[in-house]
Amino acid sequence: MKIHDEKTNQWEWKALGAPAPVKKAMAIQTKALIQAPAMLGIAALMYFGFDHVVVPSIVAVLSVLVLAGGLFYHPLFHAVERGGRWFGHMVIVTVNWILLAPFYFLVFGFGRLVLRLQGIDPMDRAYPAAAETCWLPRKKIESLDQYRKQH
Amino acid sequence: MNILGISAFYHDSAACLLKDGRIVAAAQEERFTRKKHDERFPMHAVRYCLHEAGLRGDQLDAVAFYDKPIEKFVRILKTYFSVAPQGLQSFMMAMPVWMREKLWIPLEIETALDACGIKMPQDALYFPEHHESHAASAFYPSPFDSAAVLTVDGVGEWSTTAIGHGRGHELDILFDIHFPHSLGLLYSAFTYFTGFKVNSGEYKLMGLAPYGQPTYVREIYDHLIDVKADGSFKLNMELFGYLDGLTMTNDKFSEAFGGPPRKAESEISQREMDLARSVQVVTEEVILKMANHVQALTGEKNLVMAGGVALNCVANGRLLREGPFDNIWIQPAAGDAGGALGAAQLVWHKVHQKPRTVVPSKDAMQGSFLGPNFDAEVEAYLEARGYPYRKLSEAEWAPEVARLVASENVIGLCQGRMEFGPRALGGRSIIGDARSEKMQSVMNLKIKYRESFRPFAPTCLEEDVSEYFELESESPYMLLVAQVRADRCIGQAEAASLPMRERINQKRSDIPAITHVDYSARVQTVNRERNPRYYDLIKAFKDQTGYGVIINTSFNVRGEPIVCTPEDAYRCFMRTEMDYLVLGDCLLSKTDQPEWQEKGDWREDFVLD
Ligand SMILES: [Fe+2]
Repeated sequence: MKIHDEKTNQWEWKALGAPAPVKKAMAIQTKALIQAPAMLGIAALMYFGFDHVVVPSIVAVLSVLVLAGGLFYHPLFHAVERGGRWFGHMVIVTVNWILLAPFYFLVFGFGRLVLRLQGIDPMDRAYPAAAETCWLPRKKIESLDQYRKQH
Repeated sequence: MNILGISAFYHDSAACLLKDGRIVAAAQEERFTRKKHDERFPMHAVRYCLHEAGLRGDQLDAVAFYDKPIEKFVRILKTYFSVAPQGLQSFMMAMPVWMREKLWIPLEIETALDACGIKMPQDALYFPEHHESHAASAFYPSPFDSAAVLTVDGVGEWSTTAIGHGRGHELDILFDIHFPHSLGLLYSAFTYFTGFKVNSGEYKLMGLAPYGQPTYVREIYDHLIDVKADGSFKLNMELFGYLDGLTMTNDKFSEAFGGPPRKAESEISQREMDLARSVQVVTEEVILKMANHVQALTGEKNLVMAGGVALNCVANGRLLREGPFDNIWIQPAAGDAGGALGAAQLVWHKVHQKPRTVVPSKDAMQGSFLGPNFDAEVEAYLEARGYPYRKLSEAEWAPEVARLVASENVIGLCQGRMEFGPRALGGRSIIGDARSEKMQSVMNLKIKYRESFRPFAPTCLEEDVSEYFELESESPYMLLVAQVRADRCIGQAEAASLPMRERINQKRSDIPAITHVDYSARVQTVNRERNPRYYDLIKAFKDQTGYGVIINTSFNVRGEPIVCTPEDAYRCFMRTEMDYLVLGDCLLSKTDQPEWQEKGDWREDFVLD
């Protein structure tokens, strides 16, 4: 149920306390019948097309577990699904680190070195303050167009 | 002209709607989603605002977002340029969020509005600067034609503190202090160090301060902050962790302040109390200096304030007593939620050059009752649910509720429009008898499920304020702390020598439930114009007992947002040991209600703050 229906302008506030409507989930059996052959296909492609043995074997075993779990024992299916999600998350985290960590050291590490050599500290950390005051005068707003900008 | 103000994506997201400059509605998203400090786009609050204003989705003229996201991003990049190769972990956490969400705010707003069925107005999206939004939220709704402006918080884009001048509809920020030098972050560092949660535990630190001695004030000045005569300051970043790490303080800070930070939920020792008191004293002293400076700059007798630090009501009380201003007005939603209001008002008054209409002694916040009102729907709701209730007539409502308060019952009160801002002001409050000796511990332990040291605040009739407190002015938004009148206090001389546990339980005045250990109280005054029903209730209580003052605490349990709907109120009522619930005209007694059945431990729904 929509909380606020803009057509009727009705405020269905009681829906706030109710759980959001959940889309009907696909039946586990159907999911298993789609996922298991797809996984088996990928395993076959890796084995016959690229001559790999270990990874396709793991994928094939998992596809059997998905099928068996989906058809006969749902906790097994859910366990494989959770494992898959964890693996996916770890892949994203790892790729993030592999890409971003060297970027960080190269760009920011090098950048800091250059700024340091020039005697610049973007955070103005020199302590205690040398000046009489730490108030910084504010630039006057030249044009009201400034309010449309994100910077 | 209809202007929607939005604050979102950090903490306390909120929406506000101005119709030809008048504040029609404002609400925080957390109240609807039931997630405390919800930072997501305020879909529910936006929908509510449009509904309250009676607008269709194609009738918005402008949208104002409360800060400049790209400027903030530049500040974050510059931080990494100043700390690399340290800071990698913080970078790894921040970057994906920025890339995914925060760099595309116009798109995020358009998509979210679209999902609400609202058409984004063409070429009318505005981004005022964060502290300008705070300043606008302080000045424009204030009852002053002209005023000095002071905004203090953790950080916006670069500014952490700003001073300015408001005249008519003109508002200029004159000077500011830049990140990482921040009074708000100094206070948050101590919040973290004493084992409370940053961004929500600051209140607890303030409540803890009266139990301690200011023994660390010298250390704070020696090691942490260099304060100039004009109140400007710099922090010694060698001792803080928030630039290059994931914590507010670092090992050097621990060395300087007697050991590592307190672990959350562990026993609070005298050190934490002394630290709380010390940082509170330093904060007050810096604010006083800043206030003197902005007064000298502007020559004003009025001051307006906003920003998270403006919620420090102990400092506000001292500023009123010792500061150079005759009048002080503080935006009740002083934190970032209020930025939504300020941003919208800036667009109206500054971009569109619309004049202000100032009514002396009357601000434009309408008592901060800017949220939804469910009174008309309560009866139908209770009937549908089959919850037993008694409908009170207009004549019996106030005397009957007052009678229950006077009999030491704890009562949940959900009536009228919901408050905008962190304080419950009688619309969504839990009330009790301020004269009762057992009320503080009953309410803390059986109703709020929170730490026993935390004090409760009073609401009193505006005309009676000086009968109970050392305060002459009104305090409608519970943002001023004042001393309980000396002639009402008991045992002040002995109190200082007692250990903390005994001091908590000591009777300190004839209104012990709202008298804090230092004989102070966070006062709310109420008049008939702002909240007639709440006023009538306290007036009836006075007629029955001779006391025009009651306890008022927010209607929620620890970690839960304040209730919004009658449904939230009923749930909270049944989960706790409250005795009665007032929903609009309807009175519900706990003993009449069907047994409350709930699966699992409901307290797991809320993250402890
Ligand atoms: Fe802020």
